[in-house]
Amino acid sequence: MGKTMKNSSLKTHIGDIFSFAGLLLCVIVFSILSKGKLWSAYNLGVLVQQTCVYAILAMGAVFIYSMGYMDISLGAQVGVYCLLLILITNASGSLILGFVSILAIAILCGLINGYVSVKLGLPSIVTSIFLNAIFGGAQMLIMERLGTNSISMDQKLTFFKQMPVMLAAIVIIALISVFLYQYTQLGKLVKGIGANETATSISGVNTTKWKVLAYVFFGVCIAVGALFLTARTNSAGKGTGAGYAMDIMVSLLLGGMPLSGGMRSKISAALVGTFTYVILANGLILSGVSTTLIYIIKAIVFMAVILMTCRKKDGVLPR
Amino acid sequence: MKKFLALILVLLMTASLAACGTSAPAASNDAPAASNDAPAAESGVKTVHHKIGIAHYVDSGRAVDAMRAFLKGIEGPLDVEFVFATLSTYDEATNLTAIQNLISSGCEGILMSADMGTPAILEECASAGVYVAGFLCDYNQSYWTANEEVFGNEYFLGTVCDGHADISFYAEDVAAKIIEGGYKHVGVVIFPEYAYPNQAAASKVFREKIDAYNATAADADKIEVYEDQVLNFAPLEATYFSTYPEMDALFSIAAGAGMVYPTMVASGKTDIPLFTSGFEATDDADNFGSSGNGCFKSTLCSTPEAIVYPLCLVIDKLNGTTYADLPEKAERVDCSVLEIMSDEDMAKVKESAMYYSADFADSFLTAEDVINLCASYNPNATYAGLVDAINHMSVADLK
Repeated sequence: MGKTMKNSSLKTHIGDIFSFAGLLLCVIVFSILSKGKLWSAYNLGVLVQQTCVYAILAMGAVFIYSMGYMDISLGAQVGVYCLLLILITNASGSLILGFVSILAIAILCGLINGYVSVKLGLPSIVTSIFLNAIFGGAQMLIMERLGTNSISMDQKLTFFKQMPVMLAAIVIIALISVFLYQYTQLGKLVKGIGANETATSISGVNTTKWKVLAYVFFGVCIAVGALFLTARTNSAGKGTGAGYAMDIMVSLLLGGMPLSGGMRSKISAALVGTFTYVILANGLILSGVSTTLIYIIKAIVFMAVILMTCRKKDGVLPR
Repeated sequence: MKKFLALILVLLMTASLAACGTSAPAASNDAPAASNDAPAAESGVKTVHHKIGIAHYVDSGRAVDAMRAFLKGIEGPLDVEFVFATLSTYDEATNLTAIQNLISSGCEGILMSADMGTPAILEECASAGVYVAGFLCDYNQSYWTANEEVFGNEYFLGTVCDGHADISFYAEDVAAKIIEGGYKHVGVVIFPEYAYPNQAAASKVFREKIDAYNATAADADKIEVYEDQVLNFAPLEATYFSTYPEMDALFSIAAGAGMVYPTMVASGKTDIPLFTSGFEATDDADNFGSSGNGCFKSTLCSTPEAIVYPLCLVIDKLNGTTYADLPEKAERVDCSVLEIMSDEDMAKVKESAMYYSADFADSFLTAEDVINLCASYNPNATYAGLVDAINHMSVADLK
């Protein structure tokens, strides 16, 4: 009996073990291959800077992926929010007004994404496709209207580029996420929806409400992520945010997040995954691996993680 | 068990690939070293070892192969280790990340071919004491974030354009070919003016030349030029050909081989002669003039050897030496182009141009030449000499 429980516990945590082992392995392998450059003071700052935006976005995305859903509008939303943040801040001279504006739009989009998909009975990925098209088009229109490839913010966002500030942002968002995920109904129910939406609904839970709330929190994280992304270069352009939806998905997978959501979902997947993803990309360059091989290595790691984390009975693809 | 085996397999593959990648020379091109690949000792010049990052917006294709072959050919004699990274032409943060990774890997200087996010990159490089110079880019594409702020920065040493910043000469040459060929209905394709103002300017010159011809031509001989079709960095739509069914020639100032020709093939319109730029040395070489379907009638590209301009500037800066005639402010300079207008030109390019062969033996410059272009290794080297060298790499200059 005890042995069976032990095995069951090991099975439950095998994903965690693999993801933490993966991160540890990346650190060890690249520490050796990069001849210690991974640990230089400069590179540590770079790693934090590169991780910050991904980690914030990934922690918001955990709430969506936990339901077995996926949002592909993330990158386009980030792109438009960065542009709007710059335009509104430049026009008004107030960063606070700029940020509040994009926060409001992000929350509104979260509401639309969650509510519309439920009311129309559409898979949430479909509404995210709509949003992706709308935001992608808006990004293109804004840039065409401005007649440039890139716009800059008049005031420098140096405060948000400081390592302690970025670390603090990661910690604060992580604390809020963990609190919501572990100590409120939101976390329990998004996992429940991911594990079995019908059963969760039959048990008397208003799934619509919790889905919408999950998307609203995701929206807040996107707005905060957009602020830190803008601060990195003090500019944004027609391609800002491109590829972020895929990057976040890969990061979560590397962190041990099951694509099918459910009870094995966890916030730690966002942090472990983003650090692994960033260290992998950074470490390969530091180790002198040629650019063509980098793609192959990333693809192999990605495929392997999918094989190890997916639950076959639920299928690999999200709902 | 299966998962464990998968993990072991991945670890082995990743480690072996990473190890292979690490042990390979920085420039991974396999082009053989040429006979002029003399070590520094043989050339009698004491060189200083440097590690320089090459951040390019593409990482494959003939032009990249040629550039890497050239860098591989000179890295030994010049005592420079090259590290490669890929940039984006539309995302600032991607570029900053790539440059940060290069700095972390120990690069003392960086050559960049895309200008998105340059001010933030220069800020990063200034804090790390790393110098930046450009190639294949006029630093005019993202002009809200570039120009004065970039060229006035002490860590930006200058850039060499992708050929000429002003390509009016090519527009005039193509207009002459159109008139000579007796074409009557001509389409013009360009990239957006905000990103490539020189293409809109070239289109204007092309129209002026045709208008000048029309002013004296008989009505039956007049040439109609359709309004510019702007490509938003996406391939030409097939509907373009149904909009202009009478079109009998197409001047794609925007990269024709990649953005226009595939649509022509899909639409069965390869019978329309295509005058373009951005030689890719693939379909455009196989179907040029009297070869293949003969769709391509002219094309244009700059040479990979032009990278010596930013390279010499960075090496000299790192060595603490400068040309006596170096301008105070960083410059944007032109370099020669391979303007391929005939079968003879194409034959010459195929036979002797490094751009086509990716063989260092075909390079316009030997490793010795490059060393001699650096002020720190040749006291007689001048900035004017460096600029002159990159302007003697045309089809006429091919051996």
